[in-house]
Amino acid sequence: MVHVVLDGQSHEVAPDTRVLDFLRTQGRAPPSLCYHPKLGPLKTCDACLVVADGQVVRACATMVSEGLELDASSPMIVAAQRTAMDRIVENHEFACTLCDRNNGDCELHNTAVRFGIKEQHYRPKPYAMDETSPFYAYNPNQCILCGRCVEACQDVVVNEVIHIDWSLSPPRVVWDQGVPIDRSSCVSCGTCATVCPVDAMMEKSMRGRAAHFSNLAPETRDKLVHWTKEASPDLEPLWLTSELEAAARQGSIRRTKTVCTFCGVGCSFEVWTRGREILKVLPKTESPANGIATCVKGKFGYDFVNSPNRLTEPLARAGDRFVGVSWDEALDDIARRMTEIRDRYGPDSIGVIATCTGTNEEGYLTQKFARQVLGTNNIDNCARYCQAPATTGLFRTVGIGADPGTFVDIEQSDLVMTIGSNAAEAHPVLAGRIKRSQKLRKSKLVVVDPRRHELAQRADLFLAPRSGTDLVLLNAVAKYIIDQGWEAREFIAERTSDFAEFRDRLARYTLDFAEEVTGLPRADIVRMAEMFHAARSACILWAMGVTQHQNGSDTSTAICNLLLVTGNFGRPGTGGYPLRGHCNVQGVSDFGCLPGFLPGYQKIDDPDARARIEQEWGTPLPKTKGLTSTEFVDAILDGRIRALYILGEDKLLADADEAKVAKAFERLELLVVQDLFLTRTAEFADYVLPAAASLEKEGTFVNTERRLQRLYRAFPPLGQARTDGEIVTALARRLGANWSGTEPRAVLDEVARVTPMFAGASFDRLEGFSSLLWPIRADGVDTPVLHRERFNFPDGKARFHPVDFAPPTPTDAAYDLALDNGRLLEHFHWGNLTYEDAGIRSKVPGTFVEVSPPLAAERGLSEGDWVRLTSEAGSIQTRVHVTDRVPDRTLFLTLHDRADGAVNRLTRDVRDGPTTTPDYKGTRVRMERLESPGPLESPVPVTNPRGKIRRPQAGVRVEDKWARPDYRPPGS
Amino acid sequence: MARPIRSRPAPSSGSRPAALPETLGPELDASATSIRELLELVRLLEERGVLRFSSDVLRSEDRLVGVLTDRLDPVSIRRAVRNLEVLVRTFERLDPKTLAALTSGVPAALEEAHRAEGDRPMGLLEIATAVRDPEVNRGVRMVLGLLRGIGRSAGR
Repeated sequence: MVHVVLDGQSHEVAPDTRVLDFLRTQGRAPPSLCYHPKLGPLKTCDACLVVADGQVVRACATMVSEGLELDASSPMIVAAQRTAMDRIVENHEFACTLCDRNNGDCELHNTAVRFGIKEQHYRPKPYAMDETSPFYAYNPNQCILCGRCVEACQDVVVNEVIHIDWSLSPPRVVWDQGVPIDRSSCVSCGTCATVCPVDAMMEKSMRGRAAHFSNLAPETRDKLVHWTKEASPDLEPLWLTSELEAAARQGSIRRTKTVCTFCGVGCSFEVWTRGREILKVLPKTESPANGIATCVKGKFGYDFVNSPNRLTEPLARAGDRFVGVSWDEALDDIARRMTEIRDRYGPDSIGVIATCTGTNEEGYLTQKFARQVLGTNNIDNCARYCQAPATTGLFRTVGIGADPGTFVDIEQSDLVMTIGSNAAEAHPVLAGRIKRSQKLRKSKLVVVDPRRHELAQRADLFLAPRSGTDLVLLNAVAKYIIDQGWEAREFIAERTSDFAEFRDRLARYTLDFAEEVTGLPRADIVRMAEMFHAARSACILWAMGVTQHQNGSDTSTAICNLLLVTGNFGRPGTGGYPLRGHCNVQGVSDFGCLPGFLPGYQKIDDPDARARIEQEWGTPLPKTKGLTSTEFVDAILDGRIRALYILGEDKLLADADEAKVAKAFERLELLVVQDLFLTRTAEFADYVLPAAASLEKEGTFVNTERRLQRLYRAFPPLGQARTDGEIVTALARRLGANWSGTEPRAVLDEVARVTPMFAGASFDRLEGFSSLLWPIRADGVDTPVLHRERFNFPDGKARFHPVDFAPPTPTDAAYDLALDNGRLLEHFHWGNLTYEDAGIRSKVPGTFVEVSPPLAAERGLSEGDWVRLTSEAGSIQTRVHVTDRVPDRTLFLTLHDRADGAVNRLTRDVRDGPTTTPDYKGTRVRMERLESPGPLESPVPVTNPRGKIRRPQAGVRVEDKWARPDYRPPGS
Repeated sequence: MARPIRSRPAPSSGSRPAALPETLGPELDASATSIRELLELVRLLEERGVLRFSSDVLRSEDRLVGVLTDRLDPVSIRRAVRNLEVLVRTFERLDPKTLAALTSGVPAALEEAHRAEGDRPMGLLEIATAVRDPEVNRGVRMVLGLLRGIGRSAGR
């Protein structure tokens, strides 16, 4: 602690405290507008001036020190603060009663009131409002030029789009090189609007909807503001009326904490609603995974919740059409038919697929339904399509199949390597942290991927090996490190086993061999090894580009082996991180929706676990391991499975080889699908049950870090829709189960009783924005970093697990092009949710295939041309986007199509051995040009940020403001 | 063999609101026009934000009172309330006829004052002449009486 003197009184203060924060604790804070705890001191507003040891300083940018004497309230310093405030309010016209931003949290309003501002000399700026984005607008005339938006864009999410042009008179925020928002590289993450202290950068969804009378015609509004000012230049009456009006708004505006329903990053935020209307999504400083950051889907992509296309009542197949039926009719008949099938063919004739967008509690109930009510371990989830191989790699080597640390570890690491991951589009908020670390901390970034995507463009080293050969690269780097004597000897000796066998099995992976198989120059392979050797800590992040190959489990294992060789497990800033793709794919796996594991990854043959659960449930558990989701398809076709119950999974589109899956669905005796929309899978169903969206339910999610977070209900389900938990419970009771305590809180309590790794999990401990990372001890202590003392094996040591490269199943030479495929930033999977959003649709209306310029020239293709892609499995038609992001003989197909361009019409049903995850990424195709039905039109609209030129700079560049000839420091 | 079905039916009756109770039927029929008008009014109130504002005020009563009590200076409010009280008591004692005579004279007085307005200062002779005017004389007596009354009250 240090001692600080304020008004003659000495105070003890923690040494790393900002003077501004100290003064706030004393109730003596000066006005402050540009400072934000997640952005740090920007020094643009000059309002928080104080005298420290006789010098006029900014309180936000000054740290306390021993003996520091502070004056925050003498007439001289108050006059300086007033000068600064007067300059700020010149930029912003107070019309708070009509302002949608004035909801009790407008920082300018509150600061002006607190500081006793009674008048303003507003000076309009000669710039028009920019309303070109479908998501947010910029109003220069309300902008106080604090620079928060710039700092957030440049140095937090590091999209590097906006800056303040301080050379303009007056200055303003500018996009890229001075273009409208919708012609810029803006990816619409909305972080600028989140941090804006006023209504200058505001979500369009708020406009005309938050305030009671903000939807007046602009002329009427202007007249009203003018008349009010003429009548009373004194701001006091405005403060009072606007505060009363803002207080009244709270009668119908509700703020609900929730967790994002899209990817696995686990962004949490408040969602502001009025009835069912979504006013805005507001991430909070205390949001543990994301802080103030979001992506376009999380911030603006929730229109689907109120879509008229949502299912609002149960549907039953009646011949060649669906008819609406009551819940009782639907559930009674489903229960009757499930019972008949179980009695006739046995419990294993039914398969259940849990939803990865449901809560943990719903996942737990779903697996309980399969195991206790139906009597089968045929329960799986969408991890089968994506991360099961990564989990296998981690289980083999470190004993726990999950991310070993948190995003903080990734951000603090000296070296981050991404492999088979397009994080900037698939996990954009996490990618922001990686970019930030590289930009501000100068950490190193290695990217291994076929495509030159954003992270690849930013990488210190970018490697694009041949498809499916990552394992060779990883083994070669491990061998080179060992050959140089750079391995972490102490770590290997003390904390691992089986090193000698591993080292010997690497003999084949020479630089020559690696160069030949991967196509990479040996210098690059050596460079990668050198970078790992030089880094004090390293993380490797991977995703579908690794796991969706025939050797997905082995390549994941090779990643872990490399981390063990270099000693990068079990301490902060290290580890191997599979990046989960769905909001709760981690959670439903953790909570037991897997054919080989009970909740908490307890093996189904673990006698202690079985005893615990059987005692809790009062019934014996099925003994044999169940089938995986991909095996379900084979089992349907050969008659072992007769009924499927699918929750929130568009399996027809998700599995490889769509035609095969369709054939299987047609053979089922009973298909029940539970979802928000009539998905392609639901089209085959006997019953379609309307499910609730995440905003309509209570419960918890687990993100990719292993972090449990609560979500709260913002409004009730639409129409007759019900939560997955309610539906499963109703069905279980009709099948004879005596279930009670099925509300989410009680379910989590039950999980804690039967699952040691969740022993201390409870709703109370997860209140609000609190979170816990499993394993969670009974006393509530969680585990941000795994493996610190021991690895999860009996001897406590990590295990090297040698893996060898085997060439993938060959494809006919006629299929001459490799077909990579994956997500775009704007859409989520098949687009069932994101195509419901007009703004997102305007950015990316449909799918397309990326073709390199040389290949396009060779095939006579132009931007917007239609092509047919044909593989061994089938063919699709799509449009061409010519880009140098893809290498010459590789195509990239976006996967957001539900019909003629659906990627899984092309993929083969070839699988990773240990996990049965399809080899989606190993597809080869041939491409032929089609006659275009109309004029060529790029599938990437001009309003799309791709291909635009960003404008990076360090923060807000306040020095440029200070260099303006008209700048005079207040108090000077 | 379950072939895919691409379309969904229109929402069934299950999604529609329940029918109105039969017992209200005749009254509703008789008031159909009024009910339509009322619904139109409600729609307009909602559209213009008045309905939400009214509901919000009712829902947020405590918050509004909170803002008022936080924002307003209690000393000033007390003073304003007391002044109001004094004014009320004064008005209680006033003979309405007298007050009416006084207030009705104000516009005429103001008009006359405006007419008499000039840049040149009045001399003593002019003042003495003016006082002889019966209307001016009556006014002077009234003002002097008023001053006497105020002086007596102030002395007590």
